[in-house]
Amino acid sequence: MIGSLRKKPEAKRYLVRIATAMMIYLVSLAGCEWLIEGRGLSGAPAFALAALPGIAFAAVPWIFTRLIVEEQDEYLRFLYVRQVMVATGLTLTAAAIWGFLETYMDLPHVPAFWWPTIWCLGLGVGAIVNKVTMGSAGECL
Amino acid sequence: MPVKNRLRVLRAEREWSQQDLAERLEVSRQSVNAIETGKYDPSLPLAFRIADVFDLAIEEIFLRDAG
Repeated sequence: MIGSLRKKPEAKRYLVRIATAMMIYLVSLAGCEWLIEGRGLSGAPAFALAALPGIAFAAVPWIFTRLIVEEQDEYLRFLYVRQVMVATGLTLTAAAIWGFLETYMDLPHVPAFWWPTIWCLGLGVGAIVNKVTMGSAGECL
Repeated sequence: MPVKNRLRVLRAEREWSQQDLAERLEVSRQSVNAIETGKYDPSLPLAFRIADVFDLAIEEIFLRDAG
């Protein structure tokens, strides 16, 4: 799987973009902890810094969408679209159910950043669904 | 409408592996396997490319599945 990824330019771009987004995410998260939590940074710079990890995380759906757009193999494109549909379905279902549960039942509030996290995990579930139903998980997770 | 195809037979006649055909079509081996097993129906442009590779008309490769 990884071997074929390295050969294709669109898959290479996907890996570089994911690595870049994750790097920005980790560095900005560390920056938030250090500057906002540790040193009391406030005001507009704190807002900008606090938004950065979320922006980096929000890049993942965009990066996966670019993979779908740039993929030349129509069958792999079809598999990736199915992955997105599974991930989106799972995330929206979980968010909707949990939202009402925490409203009416004595359940803890889930911070919103968990929903895109679940969406990313949903891509993995989508790949498993593809493997089981179509016999192939595609080439990118 | 269900569609069946003769891809596996035509490939076997030419002694091509799925990988051989995939390289000729510039698609993944998974694509060839999915089309052969009927899990995926190719787009019209890909169907034309398949027809070109086998030097046949599309309707000689892809058939209505009456059953």
